[in-house]
Amino acid sequence: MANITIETLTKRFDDVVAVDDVNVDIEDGEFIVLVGPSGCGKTTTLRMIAGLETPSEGQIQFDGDLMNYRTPQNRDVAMVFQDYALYPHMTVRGNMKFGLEEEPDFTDEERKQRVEEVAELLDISELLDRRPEELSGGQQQRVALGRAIVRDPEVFLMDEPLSNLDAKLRAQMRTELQQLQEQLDVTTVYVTHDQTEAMTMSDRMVVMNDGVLQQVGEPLELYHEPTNMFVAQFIGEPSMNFLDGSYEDEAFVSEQLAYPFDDRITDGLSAVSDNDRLVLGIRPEDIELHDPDGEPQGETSHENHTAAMSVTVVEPMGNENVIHLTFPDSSSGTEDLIAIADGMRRIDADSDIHVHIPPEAVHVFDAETGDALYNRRLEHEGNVIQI
Amino acid sequence: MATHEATGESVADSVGWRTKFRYVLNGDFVRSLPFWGIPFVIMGIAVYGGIGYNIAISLTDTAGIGPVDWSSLDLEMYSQALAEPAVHRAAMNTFVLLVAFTAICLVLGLFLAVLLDRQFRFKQQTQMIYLLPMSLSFVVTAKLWVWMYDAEVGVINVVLGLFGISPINFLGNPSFSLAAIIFALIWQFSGYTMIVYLAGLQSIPESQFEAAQIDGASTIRIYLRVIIPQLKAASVSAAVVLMVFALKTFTFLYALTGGYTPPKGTDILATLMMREAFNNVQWAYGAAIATMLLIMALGVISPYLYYQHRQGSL
Repeated sequence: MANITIETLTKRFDDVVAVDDVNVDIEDGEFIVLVGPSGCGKTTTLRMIAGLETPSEGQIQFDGDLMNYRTPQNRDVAMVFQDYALYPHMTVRGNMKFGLEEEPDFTDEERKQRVEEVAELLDISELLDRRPEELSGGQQQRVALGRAIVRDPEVFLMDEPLSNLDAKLRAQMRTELQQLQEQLDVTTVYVTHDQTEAMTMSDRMVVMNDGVLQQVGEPLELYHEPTNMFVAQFIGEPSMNFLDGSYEDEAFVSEQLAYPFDDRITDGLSAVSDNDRLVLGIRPEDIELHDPDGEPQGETSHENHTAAMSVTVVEPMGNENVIHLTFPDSSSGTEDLIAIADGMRRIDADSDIHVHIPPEAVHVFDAETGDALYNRRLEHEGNVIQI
Repeated sequence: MATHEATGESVADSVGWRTKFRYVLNGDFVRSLPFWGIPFVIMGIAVYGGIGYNIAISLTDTAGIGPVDWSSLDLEMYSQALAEPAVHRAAMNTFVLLVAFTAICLVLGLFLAVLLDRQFRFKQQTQMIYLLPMSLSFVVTAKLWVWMYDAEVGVINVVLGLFGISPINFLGNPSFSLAAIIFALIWQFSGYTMIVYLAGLQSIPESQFEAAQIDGASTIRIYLRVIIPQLKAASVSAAVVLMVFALKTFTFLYALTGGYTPPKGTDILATLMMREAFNNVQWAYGAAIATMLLIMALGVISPYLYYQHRQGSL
């Protein structure tokens, strides 16, 4: 149990900067997830915390103690590897006991007892005398976890531990890991490329791209208030829709769409002048779809933020339908928006539909830097979330 | 009914011997015969026929030039050989050479492989340097080491002389000669062991090493407890090849002296057998020694065959 301070951490491999000036404070007992696409430097960061890589610059501290030059053996961390890295010539018991046997202040009886306790906790007691090759992927995963837990370390490090499991097992292990971490209350740094894992498991998540830290925060904070377009599109499934256009007369104008901003938004865009390039962001789940023949709010007009579009593809998921939409006069023929509709609602491909983009749900980004200029404010909708 | 049976028979009869013969000719057995049959016959006659004939000769009393007398077959030659101190010495030397050469080669090869497995520059080239002696023939190695060991102008004695140590006649002194020969053989073959181990080491994922590091094990402990136990298969296959080479040391000793009489203290069963058979024309006696050598070789190879059998590949 330790807090971890990472300051201006940088790692260069020859000419390649894998991790670039990362600063994070991880609190004692926190479950923090490093997330980003492959090659973003998240694993390198984790390996530097473990001591398997030496930082080129910057500091890593556990409880204020500088760790940079300490070997992995002396850091009191435990790590779960993506391929589990179980020792194939040892039984499960041998694997779990290995780390304890390297610590002199246990008696043999204590080691044995500790292994059995942890095996009990993870429900792998009956596997103790088998070899890793005789276990299924899920069982191997548990053994790898057990090997980490049994040492009772200051910090848990996990490098995509669930990525080799099938989808169902992964979802199950996700909850289990989370409960386990809460129970053990050990500071955990978890690396994944899967935003669902990051969202569901983490106390706070760290989004990285190209070695650069993009944003640190609680999952919902990142979801609702992304600092830039990268975070906005990385968090959430399907990704946020982006429309390219420019700022004209307090409105967003693109080839197909003119979208007037209300006061709340224009207040936030004080630094933006006319004709500046903007990107309008809207999450698929916030788009409202109306029947053109239906209710009055189905009217298409700029004032009520509704446009006529046609449906190109419908992906039924059961609980919801993923609807791909295109503007009718769209020259490119590519889809322009993705929306999510209720699973019980019947929407046909090639039909016309009225699309309402609620102004309280839009995000505005600077087209050049990708930085968020305006994010939705949850307070406006009445359900205040403390972040 | 009777007519039916009769017609049935006539149908069977009507499938003539030509059809049956053609059927046999088209079978897998006959059609694959040229591919395995020829090597099978050559191997059978040259190797197993030779072994059989050798055993048969060893049961007779054949000596000198003349026809083989098959009338009295007994184990007299074996009892004679087992009572002979020269045979004991040669068997002992063969055994020491086999065990010491194999064991030291394995340990040294493992050590070199572990060193090479750590990343460093010019790794590829260094690897070649260790492996090169393996490409030399026994004859070249023997001549090279005769020169190295030379009592007066040999490189080793010259270097020892720099430290004030008086020259040692490595090959002439029976208490050094066997060790000197084992050393030369190790020089030639430790590179091979290294390559086998290196391949084994490289098949162990890096994450195992890292996991053990994080588990708190020191580098030496990681090798002893995690890495080396996983090299069992590599050790077994390297050991078998080394033992086979150890049994072939005859070539090396023959090249060392240009005859069947190796330096004092290094007489092995193979040289003794050749001397008895071809210098002293004691054919039956030589054949008996050869059979004993064969049994020894089988003893060496059988644990490996058993291991392979247990792995399910034999």
